[in-house]
Amino acid sequence: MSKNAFNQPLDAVRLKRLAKQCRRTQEQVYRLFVDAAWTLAVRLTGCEAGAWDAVQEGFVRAFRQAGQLRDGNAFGFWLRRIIVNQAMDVHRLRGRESPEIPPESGADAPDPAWLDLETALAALDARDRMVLWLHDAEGMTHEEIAVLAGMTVSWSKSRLSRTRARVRGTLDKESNSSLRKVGNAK
Amino acid sequence: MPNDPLNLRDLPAPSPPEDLWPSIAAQLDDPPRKHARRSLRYLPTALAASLVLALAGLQVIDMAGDRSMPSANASSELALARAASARLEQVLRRQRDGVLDATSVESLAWMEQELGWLDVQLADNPSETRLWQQRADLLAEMAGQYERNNWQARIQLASY
Repeated sequence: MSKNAFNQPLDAVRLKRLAKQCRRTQEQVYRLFVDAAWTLAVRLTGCEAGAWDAVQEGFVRAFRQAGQLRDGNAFGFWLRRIIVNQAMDVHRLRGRESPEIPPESGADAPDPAWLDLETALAALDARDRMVLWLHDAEGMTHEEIAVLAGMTVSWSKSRLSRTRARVRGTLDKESNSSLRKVGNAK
Repeated sequence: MPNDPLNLRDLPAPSPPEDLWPSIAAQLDDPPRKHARRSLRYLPTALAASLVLALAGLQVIDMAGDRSMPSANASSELALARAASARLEQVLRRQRDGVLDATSVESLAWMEQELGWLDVQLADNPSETRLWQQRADLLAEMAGQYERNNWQARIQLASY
């Protein structure tokens, strides 16, 4: 995720071209941020269809409004903010559909520990998943999350600690049941 | 480094679909058709926004007299947008005291933070007409949401 993270700056020339709706620059900027954007959207919406909507709407909005941005360093963070909003919007529109476990791109046989973590994430409420992912994976502060969610800092803190505990509980349950299966087999 | 006790950052990153960019490019080329779903969703709000903006515009024209005739220049557009924004702020101040259902609370919370974001940008560019217009549109959308919520609440009460 660090390869294409949201903290990549855009130089003034690119920002100017984006403001002029230059399609080639839009595509270059898209390629620069799409991995980070896609990962974020998949994690927040819990499904590829929702992620598609969020990322598409997010980039379109960011490109259309790029003329308002003065600082190229802020583009990635601005895009991230838009995508988080879009992802939560998608969640509101689709209601409480059961999230799916996103297919992995890398290894042929995914690590079972990752699968357990994916399952635990998929079982979370959308807002819990948002706070957990934005804080732990994206490195956002509670202040930033609180502003983004329109809530208080203490809301973000308590939600994070509760969600972490829930995920740990699910992971412990998974590992205990695996151990029991191994024990029964013996 | 962020505090990541569950090692979320180690999860393999899913790959974006190849055909996502063509789809985005198509939407950028052809906004009205692709935006039909969203436009329809916000149609009642858009109508409310147009009405409020028109009323605010009339008031400014009244106040400004001949200076704000149809051939309005950029500064009168800015004044219109600011006036609409101020008027809607007043409406919202009254509406914010009402009771909201859970769905409205969530969507209004997002709109409030969008408003905060616009205000941050306006602090840097206080004479940017487009930002003021966006702010007025957003406030109108919020006012519409509050109004819909009140209307639904009244219907529900009446049905008991």
